[in-house]
Amino acid sequence: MRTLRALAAAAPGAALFGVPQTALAHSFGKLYTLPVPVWLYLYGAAAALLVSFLVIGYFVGTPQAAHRNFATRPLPRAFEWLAAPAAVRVLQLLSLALLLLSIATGLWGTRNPYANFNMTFFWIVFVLAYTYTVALLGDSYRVLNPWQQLAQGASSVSRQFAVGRYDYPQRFSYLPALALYMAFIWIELFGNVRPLSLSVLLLGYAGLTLTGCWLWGQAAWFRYGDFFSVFFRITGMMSVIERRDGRFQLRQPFIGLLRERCEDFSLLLFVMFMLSSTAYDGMHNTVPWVRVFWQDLKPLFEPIVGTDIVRSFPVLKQMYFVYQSLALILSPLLYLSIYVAMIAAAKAITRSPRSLRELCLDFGYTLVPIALVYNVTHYYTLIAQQGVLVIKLISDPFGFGWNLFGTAGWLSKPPMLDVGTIWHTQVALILVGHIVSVYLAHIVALRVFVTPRQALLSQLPLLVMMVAYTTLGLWILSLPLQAGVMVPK
Amino acid sequence: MNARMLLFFAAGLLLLALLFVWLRPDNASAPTALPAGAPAARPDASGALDVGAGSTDTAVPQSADPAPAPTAAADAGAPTEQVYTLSIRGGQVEGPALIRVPRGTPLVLRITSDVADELHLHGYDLTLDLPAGQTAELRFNADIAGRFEYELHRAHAEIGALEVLPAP
Repeated sequence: MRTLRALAAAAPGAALFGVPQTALAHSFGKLYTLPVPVWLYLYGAAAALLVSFLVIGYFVGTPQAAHRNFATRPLPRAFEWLAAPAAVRVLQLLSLALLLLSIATGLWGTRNPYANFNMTFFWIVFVLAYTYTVALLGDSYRVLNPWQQLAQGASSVSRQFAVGRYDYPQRFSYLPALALYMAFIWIELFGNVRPLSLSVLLLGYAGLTLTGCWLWGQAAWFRYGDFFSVFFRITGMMSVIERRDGRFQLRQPFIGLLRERCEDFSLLLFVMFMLSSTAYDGMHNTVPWVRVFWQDLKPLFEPIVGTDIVRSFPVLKQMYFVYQSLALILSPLLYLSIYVAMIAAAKAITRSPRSLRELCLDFGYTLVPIALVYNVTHYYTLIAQQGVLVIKLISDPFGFGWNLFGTAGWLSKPPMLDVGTIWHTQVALILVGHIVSVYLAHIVALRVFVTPRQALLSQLPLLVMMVAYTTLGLWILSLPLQAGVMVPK
Repeated sequence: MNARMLLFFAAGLLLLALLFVWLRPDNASAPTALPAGAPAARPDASGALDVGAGSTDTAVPQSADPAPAPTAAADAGAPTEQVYTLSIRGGQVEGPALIRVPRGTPLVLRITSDVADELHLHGYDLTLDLPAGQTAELRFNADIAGRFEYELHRAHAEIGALEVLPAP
């Protein structure tokens, strides 16, 4: 402790200017949520456990209840104009225009991230708010994807961009999308992205998209390579609206996750990363997590870097960065190992002849609601606090002092939600996600296992898993957060 | 929604409500709140890794600033003004990395920096000019609950966070 204290006094420069801004909870926008109080966390965990049994109880005796919920009902024809080619074209152009505007404002606009349109629009409106829209209303990204429009533009120049040069190597499956998704989250958390670098990234992604399409064709790239497409496709399965028989149809929320089956192990890993990346984001800036490195792991490095903290600090700082990055990349394995262990237990209990791999894939999508609520609980305050400012920024996207739509002066004080309200919403949302996942898992079990009794038995390990995920999610929300730049003292 | 589902829905809600009432502490909104007016202690949890205060005593706030705080002595019911001192020297911050107060506390941040900079407190969206070598004061009421980071604009460094707990 003494040596650590000495650092602060003896390492000028290190404290303030040398440390990368790893303390950020999100690449852009400040979360102002306080850790959830312990009693509320305990309540959430206990409630999750209790309600799980209630959900299971619902099915006991009436397994056919599971099949009642697939019905859809068409929306009034008045909504059909949305699917008209002209309307779709207009929305596509709007989507492309917003991408181009985001690139332009970063290249030529203000360097202040809060005054530049592209940061708020991309990180909050697109990455967060649009995701929740997709979860509610369906995967509109399939038609609106601006990068896909670029690829289509390119394919009118050369057919190569449409059909590709080579056949997509099927053994890669969704690994390219998973790798890009990991890279994206890494950049989000550690990239210290600014308006200019965001534009460069968006341009780079356009280049990557075109390369992918040129190599393997658009169909393969937007299915296996473009992580946004994969992410929104999975997210859209939860929506209450689907397109079927040429009509918009209303359906029970989340039920779309049961229409399709997680088709490959790499896609299962993708789902695991949807869970673990948000959990990691919540975790990596908390006091216990930071302590693991600076208190528990640091002594292990001392034989190599020496005990003189002043001299070893630059090296330790690098190691800390590696520690954080590795933890992010490996985080899905934690979720996966719990998952596989519990599926294996379910297989053992039910003596199911299905292979473990098949069973893992069968239940894969039932975790998506938990991933969604993790995401919403962590970030939804950013939409209220920062996302709404896009109304103001659109009038002055470059930060040049324009007022194109007369909205530049709006929202000088964005609304701030009460902390108590936030806590209760967070816990309630996590509970809802948990209930939905348990519910879906039971329906899958009724399909996969032969008898209702087997299905019921299989739920015990799955319940343990879901309660574990939910409690983990709540626990992370309740941890104290590290303050200030991370320097030991 | 069929009758059976409705029944389970109602049972679930009732169960959740009962559990909530049972677990909720009397003082539910502020389970960790400090008594108003008491000096905010540095939480033990973060003590070990707080940003580099040279010694602990600089980090603990002076509860009521003795001299320039006439409001402090006004009456026992009024929350006492709390003063926190931060100094920045050679790229080094001295002072608390985490300030934790109950909502409604009148706060004073007293900051000295050896280079000219600007302090920005997020959420409250307050800025304070820091002329080189002089002491500047930011005086405000902590009336929005939440966690708000404060940063130095020019150094691009987050130097700490203000946690305002919902008042009891």
